[in-house]
Amino acid sequence: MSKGRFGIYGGQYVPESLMYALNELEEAYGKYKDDPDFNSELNDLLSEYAGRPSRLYFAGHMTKDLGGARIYLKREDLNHTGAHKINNVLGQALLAKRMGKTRLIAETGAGQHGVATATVAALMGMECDVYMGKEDTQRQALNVYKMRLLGARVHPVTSGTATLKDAVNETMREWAKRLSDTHYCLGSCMGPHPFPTIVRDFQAVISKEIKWQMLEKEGRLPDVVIACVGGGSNAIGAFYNFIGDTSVRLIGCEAAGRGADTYETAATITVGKLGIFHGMKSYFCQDEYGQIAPVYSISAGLDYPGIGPEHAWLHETGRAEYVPVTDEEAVEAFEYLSRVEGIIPAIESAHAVAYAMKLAPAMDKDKIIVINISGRGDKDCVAIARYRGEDISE
Amino acid sequence: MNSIVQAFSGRRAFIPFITCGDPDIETTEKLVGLLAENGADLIELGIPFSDTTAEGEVVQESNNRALASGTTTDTVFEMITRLNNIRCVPIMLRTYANVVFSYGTERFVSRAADIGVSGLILSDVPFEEKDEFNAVCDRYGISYISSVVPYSLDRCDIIAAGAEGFLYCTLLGGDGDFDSKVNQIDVMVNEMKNHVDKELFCAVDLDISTPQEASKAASVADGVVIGSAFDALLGKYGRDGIDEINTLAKSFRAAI
Repeated sequence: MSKGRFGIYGGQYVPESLMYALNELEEAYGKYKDDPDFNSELNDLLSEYAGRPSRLYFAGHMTKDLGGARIYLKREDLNHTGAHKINNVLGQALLAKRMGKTRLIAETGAGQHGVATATVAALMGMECDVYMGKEDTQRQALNVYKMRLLGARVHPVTSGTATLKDAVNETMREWAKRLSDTHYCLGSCMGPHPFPTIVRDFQAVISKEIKWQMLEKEGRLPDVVIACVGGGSNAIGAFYNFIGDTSVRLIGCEAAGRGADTYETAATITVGKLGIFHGMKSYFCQDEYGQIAPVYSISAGLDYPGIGPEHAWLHETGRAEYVPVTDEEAVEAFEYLSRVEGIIPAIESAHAVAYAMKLAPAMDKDKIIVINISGRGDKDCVAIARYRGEDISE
Repeated sequence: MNSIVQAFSGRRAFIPFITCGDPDIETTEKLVGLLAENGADLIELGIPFSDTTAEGEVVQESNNRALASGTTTDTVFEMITRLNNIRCVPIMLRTYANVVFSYGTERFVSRAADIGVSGLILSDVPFEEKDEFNAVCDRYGISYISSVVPYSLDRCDIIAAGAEGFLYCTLLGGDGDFDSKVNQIDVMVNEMKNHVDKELFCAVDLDISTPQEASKAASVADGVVIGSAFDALLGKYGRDGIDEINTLAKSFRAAI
């Protein structure tokens, strides 16, 4: 079995033309990941620039209203740029600088990772090109404007379904063309090794903080940690430091779109099958001949036909559970959290909130649930209003 | 000697590539016969995939048209079976890992071997991942072909030693004029050949579009792949592209 495996999942299924870049990245990461200077610079940026640690907020009204387990919200939405994406981008950009790269390229779905990459490129004086499905540039026009404002070039991708998977295709092609000065700042815990490991390590700060914050507030570990899963970076970040604590249930919420039993879904674990795509062996929504299926979710950030290989492994071993959440449930949770706690979550994160709303009432009052609020929902307001039949313009 | 190596045994090999099912599988079937008549030494047939991350725009679009026409792994296998009566040149298949894996690697390779396919190349499987497919190909007598690019040179010893059939030499997209690309290939081919005692054939794919380019490429390698020029004609003319492809194939053969 080749490098970078989680059980049978993962690997490096890429064109030969990318192997040099992956080997170069793996070597650099091995060199710097435990380097004190590198880590002190990263920690300084996480704290001073991104605003970490993010708060672990006791959602008292939600807890009371649902009448069961005590609910805490991990507020990744309060990070600079409004989502967990910045954790990974700061790490990768610092690494890219150490490798002598002067240009960052990235794929983006909802635009959160693109904005984070454009932001850090601006901060570090690097060139930046972001690839985004044409359909997503229309769904998330504000983020396109932000990226351009931050000095990045945004390239609408028209091939295939013109969404996140096609943006990944295009960024891979672009990387293969220009390796010498360019780092591909991949936004999720997916793709070929070493990306799933690098992204997980940079996102693991989420569960590291949840752990000490929880010990400080409650003097014990939570019973359940819930996060939404597209490629799975916020979830793996929220799960990672609890994997060894088997008393903690880990639940990933997939986007079921109009329902996991319809064609308009992105619930990879629920309906996908084992395959090889985007550099990794994992689960993918695909047809019987292995053609990658068009997927659908109201959330552009979860609208992806695969899932990171470590999640596939956690699923296979039963260490984590993966459940489908529909558009309708997510929209209701989006509205609920806004109304009850005054927190507008990203529609992605609302998938996790929705499942917690089902789970909490059935749990005892002395149990504790942590929901990872991976991002804030400003970007989604227009789309949710439209979903509810209201046409607002920005 | 297996049939892939045979393709390199006389003259410099002319290796046309076409995507199966563009614009329909019947056209592909006709084209394979024509390419064989026009002096192809090895024909590379693409099984279309939805997400061709390693391919340029011309081949991407050809894949899309092929999928839209209802082409599947099975329709490609059926077409090759029908061709067995008429063709006399070896065929290799190019596709993506998931097409083979989802079919069942063993099932795919055994079926391909049954209908006389000689080689397999997977666009998204580098040397490090090849064992999973190569081991099965070995059992059924199909050559699993490895690709190299100039960036591969730091691993050229293992790649050259593990090469089967021939090495597929290519460059990254983009920079430089054609002559400088040929020079890069020249350096790479020599380096690869120097790393093994056995005879190692190298074919070059440089996105060649004219016979002049083909002739230059032929001067530094054992075979020349015409990787996108035929798909480009299919894009432009569809079913009516057969005559153009016929003419172009003749001139490529003469130049190589």
